[in-house]
Amino acid sequence: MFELSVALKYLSPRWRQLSVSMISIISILVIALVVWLIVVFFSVTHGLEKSWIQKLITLTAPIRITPTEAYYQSYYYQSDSISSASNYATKTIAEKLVSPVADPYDPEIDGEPPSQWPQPNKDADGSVVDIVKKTFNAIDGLPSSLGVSSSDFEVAVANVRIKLIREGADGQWNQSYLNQSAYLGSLDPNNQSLMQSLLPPSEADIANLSKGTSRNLLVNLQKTSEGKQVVILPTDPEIGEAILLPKTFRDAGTRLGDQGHISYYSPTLSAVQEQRLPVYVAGFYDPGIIPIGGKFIIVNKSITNLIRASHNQSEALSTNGINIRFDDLNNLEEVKNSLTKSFEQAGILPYWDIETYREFDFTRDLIQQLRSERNLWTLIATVIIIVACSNIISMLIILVNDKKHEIGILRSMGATSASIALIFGFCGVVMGMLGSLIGTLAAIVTLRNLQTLIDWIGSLQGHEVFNPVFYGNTLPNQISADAIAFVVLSTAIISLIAGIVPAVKASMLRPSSILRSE
Amino acid sequence: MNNSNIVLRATNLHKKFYYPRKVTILSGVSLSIHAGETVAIMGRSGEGKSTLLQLLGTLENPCQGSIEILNQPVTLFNKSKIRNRHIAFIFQSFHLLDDYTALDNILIPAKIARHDTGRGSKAHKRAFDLLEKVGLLDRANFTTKLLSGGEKQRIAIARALCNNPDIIFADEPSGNLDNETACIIHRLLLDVAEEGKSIIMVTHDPKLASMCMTQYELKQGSIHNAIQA
Repeated sequence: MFELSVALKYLSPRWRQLSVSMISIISILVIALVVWLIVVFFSVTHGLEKSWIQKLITLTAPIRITPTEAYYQSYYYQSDSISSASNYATKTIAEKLVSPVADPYDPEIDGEPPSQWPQPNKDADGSVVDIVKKTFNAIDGLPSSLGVSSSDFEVAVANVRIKLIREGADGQWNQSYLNQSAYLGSLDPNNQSLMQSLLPPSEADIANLSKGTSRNLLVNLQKTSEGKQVVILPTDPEIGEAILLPKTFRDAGTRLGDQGHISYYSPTLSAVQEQRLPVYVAGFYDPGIIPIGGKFIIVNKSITNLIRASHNQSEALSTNGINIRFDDLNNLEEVKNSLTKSFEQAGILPYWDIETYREFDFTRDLIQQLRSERNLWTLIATVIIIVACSNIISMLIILVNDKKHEIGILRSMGATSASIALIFGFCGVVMGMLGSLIGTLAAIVTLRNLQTLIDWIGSLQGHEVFNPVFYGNTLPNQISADAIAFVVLSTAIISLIAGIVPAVKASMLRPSSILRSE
Repeated sequence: MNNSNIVLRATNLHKKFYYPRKVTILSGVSLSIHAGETVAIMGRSGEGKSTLLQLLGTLENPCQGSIEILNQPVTLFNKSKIRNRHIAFIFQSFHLLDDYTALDNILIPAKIARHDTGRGSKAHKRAFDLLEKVGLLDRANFTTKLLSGGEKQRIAIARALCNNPDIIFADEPSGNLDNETACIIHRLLLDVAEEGKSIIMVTHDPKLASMCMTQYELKQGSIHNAIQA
């Protein structure tokens, strides 16, 4: 293209136009510097955000389905409480899933239902709709391309008391206790995020284990016969149940193999009694920055089931549900929409709340904060790019003055005003794009050596640059495609806009006045 | 001459400049140029010869009056196309692009017209033919700042012929050259005219003017005298 070839010629450094060449080089370097800064910053923050979200869903799942009030008030749920076949107790989702019948109530055996009793929701064949089974069928029926898997979860509240027996400096054995009110979450053996969050034993852990607890009793990953990796929390009949603690417990002095008990209160006919369940520390995991992460203990489902069974049902609301996991988090909304559609078609949508991790009570604020920060930084980045690209305006104005003679010649040979404007527009865009390219390449090199750079800065200032509690042990160094797309596009657009004023100025020059003055 | 082969018709051209003070340069100039005609515009300095040339060449707008080129009225919208396809300029100070080679300078009008100018293309071959015609084939890849004045003007003539225009405007084409080189340039221009192109030139050189078919003398903003050979 003629205009582009002229623009490239104008931008080629020349001794004869030293001032213009110097200003162009400086403008390009300033843009490159800004692009480098933005790409590195956004790549790291994007990576951190991804890792935080990954850790956030360690404890839950990208999508969580919980029963609504309509479910708990339904005949399907309530009928267990008046049926001898169900021991007159309502069932969890897991129990409902394995229950052979949707309607255990037998008028021949069981008593009359209360007067305000819900009407059963029936299928076309007259049988009571099995909401839970229909729900899992609907989930299984989603397109396989989404890679969706499901598992039920249970959460209970209890107190944890860990006995810490440590050898003091004087060689004496000291005993202390660590008490914590905690959420107990049921272990999902297929939780891939949890597998990645497991922390390896520290030297202090290994020393503590040498006092007696077998390493075979620690949390471990095993392969199933289908080749899938699963998390296993073993149980030892002599020591008790294995528990997986968040790393804050380790920071507070707990070590692998420490023993203790979980206590919870169970109502009896005469009083509320404390129940104790012996446990031992089988592992630690990193819950990330989730607010309740420090209090979230992972246990086998048998424990949550036991504790939930001892509570009134009204207290159990929202602590039982279905976790939905899938391969690609970018499909979040698509999976949610597919679930909603599928549930609607099956007539079970009123019984379930489908929430993505962005909507969970305990993550909503954090996600909104991350989003606000991202928007704020994007705005700041845009302003920085505008400032960097504004150099282009002054450079192009000098270039237009420098090239007046050539503009006159080109106009005399038939170049249109638009053509002249385009030449200087191209100059702006080429400078912007060149700056982007240099900046992006520099950012890639920086990101590849990020940890070395950070370690070096850390050694200079004498302490770690980033707190591992928030940022992890290593910073993410994957280049963000979004960041590159943002800077390349915004630089091109802003450079083009910056080039408009000089380009219009150039296009309005009259060839006769230029050529006359030569 | 036959009216049907008029390539340029100017009617009642007026031109005034308002800055730094109001000056009337041309008042009511009308003329017609035929295909293959060579025209010399003469007059004292400041009489408006170059201004008239720029008006006729569409580089300047008249305050009043109209210009038709190849029976097309010149408007704001077709000026660039006319300049690129139908007319060309040769200036006293050559006005070549210094950073380009002689060959690239010749090819610029073709590039503006979006013609293929790659090696082996029609435009490329024509540029070499023109270089040969002006006797500078061996200077094809020289940047123009390395050429002498006479060579630069010959390259300017070759560039003017690149898109095979109908009319060539020359503003004192030999004004900056020695006598011997000027003669070479005059010969080249007259050769071009013999190929059927109209040439309108501004000159102070009576010898060059005498070689032209028509001579107009400008005085006090209008054509004072027209001599047909």
